[in-house]
Amino acid sequence: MQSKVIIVITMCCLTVFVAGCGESNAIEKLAVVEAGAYDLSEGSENPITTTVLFPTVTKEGKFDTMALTAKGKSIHDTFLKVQNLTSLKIVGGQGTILFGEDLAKKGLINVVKSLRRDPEIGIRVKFAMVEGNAGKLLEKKFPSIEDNAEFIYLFLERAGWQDKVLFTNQYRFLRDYYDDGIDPVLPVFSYEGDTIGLKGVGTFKGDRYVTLLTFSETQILNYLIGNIKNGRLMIAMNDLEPGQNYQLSLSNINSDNDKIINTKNMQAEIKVKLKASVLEYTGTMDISKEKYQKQLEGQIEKYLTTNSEKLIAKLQQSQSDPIGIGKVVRNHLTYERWKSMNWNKTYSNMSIKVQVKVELTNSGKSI
Amino acid sequence: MKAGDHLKERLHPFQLSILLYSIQNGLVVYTLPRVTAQYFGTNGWLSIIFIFILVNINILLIATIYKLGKGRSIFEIIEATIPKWVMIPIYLFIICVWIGLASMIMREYIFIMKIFFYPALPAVYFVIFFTLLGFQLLTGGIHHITKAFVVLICFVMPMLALLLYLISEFEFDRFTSFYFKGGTDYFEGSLRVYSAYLGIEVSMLLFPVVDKKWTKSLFIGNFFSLFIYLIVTFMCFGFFSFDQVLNDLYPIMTLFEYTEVSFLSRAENLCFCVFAFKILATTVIYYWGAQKTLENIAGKVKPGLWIILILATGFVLALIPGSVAHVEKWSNWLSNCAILIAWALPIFVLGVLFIQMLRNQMLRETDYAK
Repeated sequence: MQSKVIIVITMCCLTVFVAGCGESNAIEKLAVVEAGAYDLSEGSENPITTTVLFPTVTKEGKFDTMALTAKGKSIHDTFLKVQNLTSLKIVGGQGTILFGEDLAKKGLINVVKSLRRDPEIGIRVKFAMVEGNAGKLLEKKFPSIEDNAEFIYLFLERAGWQDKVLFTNQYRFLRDYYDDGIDPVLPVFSYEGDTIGLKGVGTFKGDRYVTLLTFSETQILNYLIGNIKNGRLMIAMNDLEPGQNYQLSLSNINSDNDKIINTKNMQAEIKVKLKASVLEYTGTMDISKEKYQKQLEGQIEKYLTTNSEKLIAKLQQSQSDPIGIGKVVRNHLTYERWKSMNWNKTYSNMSIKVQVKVELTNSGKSI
Repeated sequence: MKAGDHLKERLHPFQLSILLYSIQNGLVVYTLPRVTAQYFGTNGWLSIIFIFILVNINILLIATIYKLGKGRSIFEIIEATIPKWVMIPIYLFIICVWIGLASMIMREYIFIMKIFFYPALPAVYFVIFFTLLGFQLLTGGIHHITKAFVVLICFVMPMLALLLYLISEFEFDRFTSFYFKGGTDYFEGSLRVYSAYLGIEVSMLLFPVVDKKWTKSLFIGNFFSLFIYLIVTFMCFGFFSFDQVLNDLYPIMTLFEYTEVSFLSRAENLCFCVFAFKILATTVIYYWGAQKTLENIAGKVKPGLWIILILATGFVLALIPGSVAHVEKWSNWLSNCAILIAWALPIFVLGVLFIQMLRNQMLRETDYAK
């Protein structure tokens, strides 16, 4: 009887493992796509341009990459056409997907839905935008970069660790798109000059790209969205007051974010508490003394409050809500009131205040 | 152990709890978050708890039959009052529904497997594997089935730990503060959620092989299912936004797809393959139920013949559907029939028992009068 049980269990395990033998692929004959880029092309007949980048190895054993581009009516139409450009078998598994600026302005959801339907493309695939043409970024050779796709992938991975808002993938994009109380964001790259650089963050209204936030605005947005652990912040104080001109770099920031909504007259207040240590300070105050430290805290608070409110006004104007104020408002209203409300309009006319409290825990190793 | 010992050996309550958990139709869990969101609207995951209460009432009926029938099998109870030939059409209906449902669950699993992982592999391979395993288990009898499942479920359970890796993306704000708003059809939704608990009704045939105090295992096994359904669905509602759940065919698949540990990424593959054991459990127990019912109709035929007949029917049925929509239509229809059986059969048997008790009492009174 025991042996029979063992037979059954062995067979069960076999089922699981043998099932993998259905298809076999030799790696030399494959073009494993590292990154895909999608753009809007001119002319209405073939509206989508797809560029794929995959690594190749020459006969001498040298590593290189190859980018192929094709125009088509849909994502998979372009895939078929790209396939016809090479003798290798193109397989998915891309780590990064880039969208061109024009396509993003027109709306991404159809493209993203096509990608979502395909089981070869994982939910963790990184999403980013490119200022200008996304395909060009993959095709262009940069002297300091060996593999553009790998560069962007690793760049996004690191940036996502440092600033939570830059951590974007298919799941996060779709989640915020489908949520009626928040809008998605995507990091924006540019390829002017000799290297690929991060330009900032593009915010969306639904699935359409509306505004570009600069790098310093992106940093502030990060703290307005939610709690941050071990973050960083770079402040150039001359932004605010022309008389002052110094750089301040904060690190090890732990922040606490609280959003308060008054549903009667539709007012919101975002309370941010920061605890940080000073990494760099180029000003004249002796910040190891408590008095000046307090003064510096006050200056940072003022800087953050003013810039946050400016940022929010900019977002309100473009009716984009990446902070997720809608989520908090929705959870304070009844279903009927939320559904009957024109949220976009209410949002752009809402009064949103920001209150920042900064506490400097230390000022580094030296005075 | 001698062959005759099977009849005397009774199932341990713990083994039974695991068996009852494993036979419940687990495949539904892969669509459960979307189904609850679609039919019940916002915070639809709560419906799982309400349906759980209904299922408990159903189990209570079965437990009552066991108690009032003093351990007799339901066939003995029924046939003590009603002639067998009257019951044959009903038995045949039950057999058809159970075999059909088992095959459809198997086929739906294979379809999902093909969509996600092995699009090029012919479905017939999987069906052959399931059928062979089913044969091995069924010929061993219910004791073998139970012991094998206890081991196999140990493979399935650790997968839940992967959910811990998703907590960083979990947010209570996504639950919304609305309850059951934006739903479509509560009745249809209840049927769909109920089908996740199906399988437990086959326990009506377990009476001859269980201990006296086995009924608590029924509740424990069912509670186990509730726990697992609730934990994954709850996770889904906080991990995805509401409309995202609505737009995802298999949200649980996406949920596990997102887990990434340094030694394992895209864990949904592993999870779903291991889940085959649970599908096997559900399929086999329905076949076993059909086998027992057939044996009751014609006891003189060798059990091996019935097993082959049932598996052959199941095999053919599983190969018929050509598309996911097709298989879903059939499995919905058959699970509705199975829900009907799950409620109507115990109520009917209770009715029969009641008549028997009345008659006994009358007999006793007339005896007393003499």
